[in-house]
Amino acid sequence: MDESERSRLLYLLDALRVAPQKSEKLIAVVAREDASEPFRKAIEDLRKSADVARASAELRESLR
Amino acid sequence: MGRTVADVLEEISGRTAKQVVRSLGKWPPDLFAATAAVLQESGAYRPLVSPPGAAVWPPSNPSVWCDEVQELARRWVAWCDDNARGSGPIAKRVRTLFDLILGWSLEDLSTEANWSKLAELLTLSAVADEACAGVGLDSSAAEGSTYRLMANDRLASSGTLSTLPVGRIRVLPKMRTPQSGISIRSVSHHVCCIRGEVGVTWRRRDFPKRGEADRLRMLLFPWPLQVAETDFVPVEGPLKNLDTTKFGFFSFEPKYESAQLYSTFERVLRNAKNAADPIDVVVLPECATTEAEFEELWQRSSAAGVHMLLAGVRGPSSNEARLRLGVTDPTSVLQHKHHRWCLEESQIRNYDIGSSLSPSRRWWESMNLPPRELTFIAFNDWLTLCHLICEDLARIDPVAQVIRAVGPTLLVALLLDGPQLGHRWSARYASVLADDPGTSVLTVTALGMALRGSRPNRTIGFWRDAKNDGKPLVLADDAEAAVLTVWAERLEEFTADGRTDHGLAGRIVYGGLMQVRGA
Repeated sequence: MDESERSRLLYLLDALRVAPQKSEKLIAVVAREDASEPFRKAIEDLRKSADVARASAELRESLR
Repeated sequence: MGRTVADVLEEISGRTAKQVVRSLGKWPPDLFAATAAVLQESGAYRPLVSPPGAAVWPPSNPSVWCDEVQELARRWVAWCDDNARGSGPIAKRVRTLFDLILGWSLEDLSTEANWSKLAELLTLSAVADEACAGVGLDSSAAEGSTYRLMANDRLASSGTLSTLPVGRIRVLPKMRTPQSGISIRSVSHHVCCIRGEVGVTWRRRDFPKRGEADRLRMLLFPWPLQVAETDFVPVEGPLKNLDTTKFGFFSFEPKYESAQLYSTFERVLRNAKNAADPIDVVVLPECATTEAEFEELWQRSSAAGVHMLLAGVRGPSSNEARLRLGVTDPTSVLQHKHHRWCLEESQIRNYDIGSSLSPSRRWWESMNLPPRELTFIAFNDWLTLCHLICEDLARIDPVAQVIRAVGPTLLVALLLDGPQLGHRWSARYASVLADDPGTSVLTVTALGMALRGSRPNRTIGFWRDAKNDGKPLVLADDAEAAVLTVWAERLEEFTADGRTDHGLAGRIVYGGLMQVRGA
């Protein structure tokens, strides 16, 4: 995952923190077919998670 | 007739003016780009503070005008947030104005007869600016979160918030609003426009910090601690058309042992943490390390719990500032130097390096000049960092224009320079940026260079913020490094059109300097 993708993920996590109820819509904003494998996996994990807040916090920690 | 409004719109878009106008009501950064480009080229922002003839600004009661701007921006953001269905709340107003003024010459915009149209242009610019509030940062506002994410995603991907071609115009987040003078930068709180050759990268990172949330502690390690005249080495340069009796190239090749650097660094880091834990970032001057040494210092730094390292890295033909940061997955941000250092007679004599470099020639630093790029890193709502190398702080070229437009809250300049005294060039340029746009500036040089001047001095850095007088950062006789503590503050800023930012602007101010003794 390059720095651009890392930034995009962090912006997504910022948005999820303030509007978790819109997770599906927010995730759709950043999801891209041509993204790197780690980026797509991170998005997929968020999308599938039953607890977006916890998944977001874990992802943020991994990007710290 | 001179250039028209349509000419400007076509230049920034690569499309016909009428095509552009139809799309301006869809995306706030695009409308901001269009209005700012017209206002900047025409100078028609000036009537905000000096209306023509009997004209009055704002066009309605000041608080009513501000409320109207805020409300329209809020509705526009909500529309963008909600999939942008239909034409949107501002599109008709944008088309009505631009269809009327497209054919106008830029000079005609500021006349008293055309005041109502200029007032509308200024109002739409303000609406676009307000609709961009919080973009680029870790915004805590739930309202408009989808729209802001769309904007931020574009920013992180392509270095602009706008959909207009990035090679023609770039819209970036803006941190500070100049509170003196009047320029196009006085007209907006939240975004700015850039045109020209400088590539811009915008990054978002969480700050890998501990301790006080509004404090930043920087360990300044002014390596090399000694510089010999033979560290300046004549080399064959890249240009074959220079008269070698008048010009030459040099490289900086300090002669210390890497092991000495590592052991000193470990001692300094340990002593600094004992005195002022936690340290947030370690800063070394320009050309302080080789690439391999940087990696070694990073290992030691992160092992000690300091997860941010900014250092000048020298190579055979490169001179860059490298910022490494991160805890679990660290990455680097590189900033190349944009201007070669030129050593001429007065500097050669001042630094007493005439036994290596002839004072009768001008010596250019041997380094490549890659395309001009600038990186901004947004950590939180008070810390947006930009780092530069030496000469780049002083040159009034497009890079300086970009820094002035964005107004990062902190600029760190890595130098290989003499003592950082208040009357010297680096302090002067730091003061210029602290005054307008309000950026706090830190310069750091090598102790070895500070001690080489004709008046040796242990002033290894200079801090300047918009609130306080400049602070020369002086190393004590028995110290090897120093810890600079700075604090975040909030302040209220106003645009020239009279809008407040409600006290949300962030400013970083001097706290104190602690010596890190060598023992």
